[in-house]
Amino acid sequence: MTSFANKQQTRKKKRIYESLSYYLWLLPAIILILFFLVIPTFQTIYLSLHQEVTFSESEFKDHFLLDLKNVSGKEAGRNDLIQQIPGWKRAVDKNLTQYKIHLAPDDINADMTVKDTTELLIMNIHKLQQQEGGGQEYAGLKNYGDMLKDNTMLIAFKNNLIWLLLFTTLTVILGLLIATLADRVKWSTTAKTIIFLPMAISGAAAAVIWNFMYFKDVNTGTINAMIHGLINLFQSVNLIPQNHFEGIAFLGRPDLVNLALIFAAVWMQVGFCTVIFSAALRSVPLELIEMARIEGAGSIQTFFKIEIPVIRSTIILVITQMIMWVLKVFDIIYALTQGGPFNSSEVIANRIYMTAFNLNNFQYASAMAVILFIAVTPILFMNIRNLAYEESVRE
Amino acid sequence: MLAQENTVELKRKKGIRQCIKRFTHWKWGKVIVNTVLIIIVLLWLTPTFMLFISSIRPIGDMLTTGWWSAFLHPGRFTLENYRTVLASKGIGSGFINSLAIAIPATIIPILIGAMAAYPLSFYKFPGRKLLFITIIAMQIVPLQTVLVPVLLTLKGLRLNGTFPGIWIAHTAFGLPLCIYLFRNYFAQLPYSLIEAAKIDGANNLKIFSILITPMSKPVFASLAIFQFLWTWNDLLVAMVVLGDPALSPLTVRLTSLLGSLDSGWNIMTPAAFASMLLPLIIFLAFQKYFVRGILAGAVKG
Repeated sequence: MTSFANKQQTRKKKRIYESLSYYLWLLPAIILILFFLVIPTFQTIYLSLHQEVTFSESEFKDHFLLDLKNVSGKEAGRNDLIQQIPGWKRAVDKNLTQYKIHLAPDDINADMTVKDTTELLIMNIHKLQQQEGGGQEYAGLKNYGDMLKDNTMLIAFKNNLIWLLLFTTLTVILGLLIATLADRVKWSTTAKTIIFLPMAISGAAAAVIWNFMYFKDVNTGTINAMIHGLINLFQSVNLIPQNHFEGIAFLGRPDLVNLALIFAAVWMQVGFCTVIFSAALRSVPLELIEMARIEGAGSIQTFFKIEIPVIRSTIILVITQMIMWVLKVFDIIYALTQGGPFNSSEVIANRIYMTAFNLNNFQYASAMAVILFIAVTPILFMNIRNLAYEESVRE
Repeated sequence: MLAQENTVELKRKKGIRQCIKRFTHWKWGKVIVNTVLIIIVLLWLTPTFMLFISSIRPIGDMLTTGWWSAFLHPGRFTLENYRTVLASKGIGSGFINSLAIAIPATIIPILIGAMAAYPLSFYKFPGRKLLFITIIAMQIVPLQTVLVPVLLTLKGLRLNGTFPGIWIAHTAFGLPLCIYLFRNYFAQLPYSLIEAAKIDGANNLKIFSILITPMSKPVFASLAIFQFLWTWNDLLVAMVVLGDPALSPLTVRLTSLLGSLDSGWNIMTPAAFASMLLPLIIFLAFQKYFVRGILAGAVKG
């Protein structure tokens, strides 16, 4: 009896040792994921509920304008101009009076606008705050409320929505089209390789490419040259009236800039959809297609009635991936337009970067980041549910 | 026997596919399909091709005439721009910085990820499920959500603005995907092999290094390509973690060139093309693994 208990105990001990050894294998991964992903997520939520201690408006203006005048040595600083600067209210700590804000004369040059100077000042104030450990107080949902009053942020929300609709639709439809077409030609591998080549290109390099593609001049800008060519073609057969084509500044026009950016992004990401769709279409049981054909269904009918329904789950997967991509889209916008002209191409990811790292307002940026996080949570739960399903199948 | 059956089955399927094609695609259909695809493919190739052609044209030509007119004077192609880039300090050191960031940031997460996936795939122990669910959840978290606290943590460790700092950041951000893909792959391996090895007295380290690793070359390859492309092409993490402009990789250099008012296109075009060269070569050489990775669910947060 005792020997049995002993045996059990040793076995138990052995199992504990084994578990511990497994955790040793997992240790580096656990530490990194915990300290650089899990905890930061909660820290962001915590930060988003706080604000830097604020300063009353009139006091702020007094000090601020005084400093501005001292610093730039000219009659700068019209109140209305300052008010246009996002986040200016929160820019100053309540202890501002104690800080001597000095900008070295070298920092200022004569042709800087009031806005530039103010931003420089704000940056310096923040640097000071960070050195001194900056004051932070509980603010409830104030940051979230501010977002609704922040015009630039509202534009960003709207643009992300435009991206969501246009980019997702375009990539999914184009991806399906290309995958279907490529499946029916002899050079399908070459075609697919070329289509997903841009996936290997960085957002920065793509920005260089598309900046060049979108040149306004019809002699150098490829897109404008193409449009010009088409117009000439139609004019030569008198389809449209004679009119001189000047070239379109795609990246300079608030009404076109989003379309231009979305097109560049589609160029980069369509390959992803094509690869997945192509594999899914290949897995459609041939017997099904054969049957439909024998029943007399045409190519197009078979595609919509048989192939699309069969690969439905793949389409949903691709759509969720594209949505995730859109929510985080940053590189190409930052490199091409920085959200301009006049904030017309702002997106949430760009706002987060600018607010956190240019204006140094971590709390407000965190609130935006939380919104982004909330936007992806449905996908998160979906993934976990799929995983649970897979596990149950496996076991 | 089994292999033979498989080939027969494959032949049959191929036969059906061809039959369907012949059955439905009359001549004009084929012409239309080919034409549409050719147009799309040409459109997709144009931007990259344009960049390459522009990069080997003299700056004067580049800004006055379109790249397509370069073919009228093929004698004017020049490597002058590339020479300028090599001579300018910014781009050359950017290239080296990119390598210094991307290579360790590719190797470290793959090693750590494979190690973590090993017990997760083969053994049962308390907390396993919770760990795996956390990892899956973290795969979705957008980078922007965690960047501020990550920067503060790195600052606390005095690692911000250093290469080890960005290696750690890239490793952490890449790990969930690595673990997920490794686990999916490991789980398909025959467990009986591991049991046999255990009975023979092999310890975990031996099983992992001698048995599992050699069988998992494809997933190692997929992840290496993904992680390399991702870290090489990254802009955001580099801008946030590396404050010092002396350490910035090519992507950051290109972006600031593009943002500066007097953009020197004779520097920008060759620099952009050079920055694409390495990823494109890797991509073309290991395309098979890239596609496999994507199909296995390689999507990053």
